[in-house]
Amino acid sequence: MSGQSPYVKVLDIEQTLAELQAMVDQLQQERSDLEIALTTAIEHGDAIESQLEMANRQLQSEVRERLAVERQLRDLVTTITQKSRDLEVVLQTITEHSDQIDLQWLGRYIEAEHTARIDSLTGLANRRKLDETIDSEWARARRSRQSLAMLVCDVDYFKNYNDLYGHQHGDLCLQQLAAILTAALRRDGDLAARYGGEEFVIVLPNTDACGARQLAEGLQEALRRAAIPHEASPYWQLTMSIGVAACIPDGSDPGTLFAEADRLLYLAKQRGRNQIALT
Amino acid sequence: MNALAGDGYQAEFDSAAGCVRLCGSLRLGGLTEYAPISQLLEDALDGRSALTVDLSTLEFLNSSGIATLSKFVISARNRKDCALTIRGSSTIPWQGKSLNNLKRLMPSLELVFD
Repeated sequence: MSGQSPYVKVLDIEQTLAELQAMVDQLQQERSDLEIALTTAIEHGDAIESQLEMANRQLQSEVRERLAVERQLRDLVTTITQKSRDLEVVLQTITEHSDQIDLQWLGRYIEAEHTARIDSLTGLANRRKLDETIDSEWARARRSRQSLAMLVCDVDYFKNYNDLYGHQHGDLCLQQLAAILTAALRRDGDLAARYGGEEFVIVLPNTDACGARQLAEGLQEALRRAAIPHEASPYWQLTMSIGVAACIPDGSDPGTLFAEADRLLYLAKQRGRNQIALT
Repeated sequence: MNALAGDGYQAEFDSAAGCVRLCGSLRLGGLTEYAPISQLLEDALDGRSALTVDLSTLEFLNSSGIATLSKFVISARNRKDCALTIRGSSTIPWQGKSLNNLKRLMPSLELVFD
């Protein structure tokens, strides 16, 4: 190399310079490209960051809205649940209240039904209950071909009793008599009723004339033992006349049995009172 | 004193005593007919820290009446600022069960039976 001519050396230097220049140009180009790429990347990053930030803000806003809606929904569910519970309790309250009121009305109805069929003075069945019982027992006895008996009882000289002792004592006397009648009945189906005034009726299902007479005799005996004073009577104590009738019903008119017992009562009265007249 | 009266019943609000009294037999037809009584009860609650509703002489209350009373108890409960007492009678059959059910609507409700 040291042996080369200066001309050649210059050529080499020029060539080297040219190569260096080319390299510098290439490096400048690459640097420029890198600058552009870097700028592009930075700008792109900024855009992405801005976009992400916007998206983030939007998401946060949506999250806040959703949380608010969720709270509202939770409140709504709580309110609805409370109202639902309230409605259930109100419904149960109204239902149970209605049941209670129904029972109250039923009680009053039963009481009224009972009162409507009871004689208020004596506590015996009244005329309405008597009529219903006669009708039903007549029909039953007719169906089953069984005997039905009836006693019609009337206190002897009761007007005189009231005149002598006063109506208050008269009422007490009727109550005592009612107690005697009630005590004499032993079967559930038997019925003692106040027909009116001092007249009483006893209905005896499935009883023939003999059985009815025994009951009538027992009543008179019980009354004699009670010895209720009656100074305005020839017997000096309260007595009773009784008409006793019995039959196996074959007609449709239940009144026939009462008519017969009443006729016999009239007969007992005619015969001097304090006695029993039988079919 | 604010008062209402109708066939067989009386409703009165004694502001000084802080007491609404319902007496007699309430048999009004439906919630519409109960509106005046409902209003009387609501008015009694306004601005009051304690109120007594006296039912001890209310012999009869129909289903619409108990519904009105239930709504009133819910209203009192939701206000949260009024101590409510209901006075009843142990001799009136419907009151035992129905008034105890009202306590389920408002656990702080005080029930007093004469």
